[in-house]
Amino acid sequence: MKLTRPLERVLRVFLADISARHYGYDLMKAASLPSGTLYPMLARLQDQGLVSSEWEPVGAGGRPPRKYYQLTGDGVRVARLELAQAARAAVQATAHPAQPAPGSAR
Amino acid sequence: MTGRPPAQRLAERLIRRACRRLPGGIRDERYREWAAELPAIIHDPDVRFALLRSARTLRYAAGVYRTTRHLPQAASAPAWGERQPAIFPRPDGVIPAIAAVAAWAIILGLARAFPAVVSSSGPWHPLVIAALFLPAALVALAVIRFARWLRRRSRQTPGP
Repeated sequence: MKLTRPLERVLRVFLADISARHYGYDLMKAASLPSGTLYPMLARLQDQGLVSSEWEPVGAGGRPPRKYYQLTGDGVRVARLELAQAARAAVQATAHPAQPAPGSAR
Repeated sequence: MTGRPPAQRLAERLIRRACRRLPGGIRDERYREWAAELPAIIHDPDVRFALLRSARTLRYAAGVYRTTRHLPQAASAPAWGERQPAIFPRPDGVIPAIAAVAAWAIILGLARAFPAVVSSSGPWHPLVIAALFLPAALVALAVIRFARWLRRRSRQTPGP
């Protein structure tokens, strides 16, 4: 899984409360992502078994039932690992800024 | 009269159209999922202005329209359970191209019908400006979409 900025935002929303279920627009708002970015991402995460989806019962709230998304157990583990690695890489990049390669022009 | 705001109805139509690209197995489910989000967007209490909520609703539908091009299932599975795949698939950009021709025809028709109005205001008459820019923009859109379509096709075509 390549951790892009949008993916990182979505994973953070999920991890903020791993028991919470989110519908599409809810995720879009929380992660500040357009639908054209979010849904392909959710589809990929679902294909990888990291996110599961579930329909809410018919008649809930007197509106059409929504589909809710939630991280799977595997998804929680992978998301935490990926975010931790990204945070570590960011700290390392700050502590040791990239050095010019030997022999490269200054 | 259904009681739903026009933006919601338009968004539903756009989503329905987008879902036609999807394979039969997931098409209905995806439509139900995306259409069910529309009431939340059009009545979003965090967005104060109705016009803005309508714009968001349409932007959501436009995003869904894009999504159906990139969903992995859409690329791999055969679309349209009921239809046979087209022998000569319609390239993208045809509709903007037709719209450009139609716009030109309408604008020329208007210019011929009201020559005095056009000539009295000189080159900055709105009709002249529309004749210059609107069809040109549509043609540009048609060319861009056609080029993307060609690129996608060349990627999908298996090599020797």
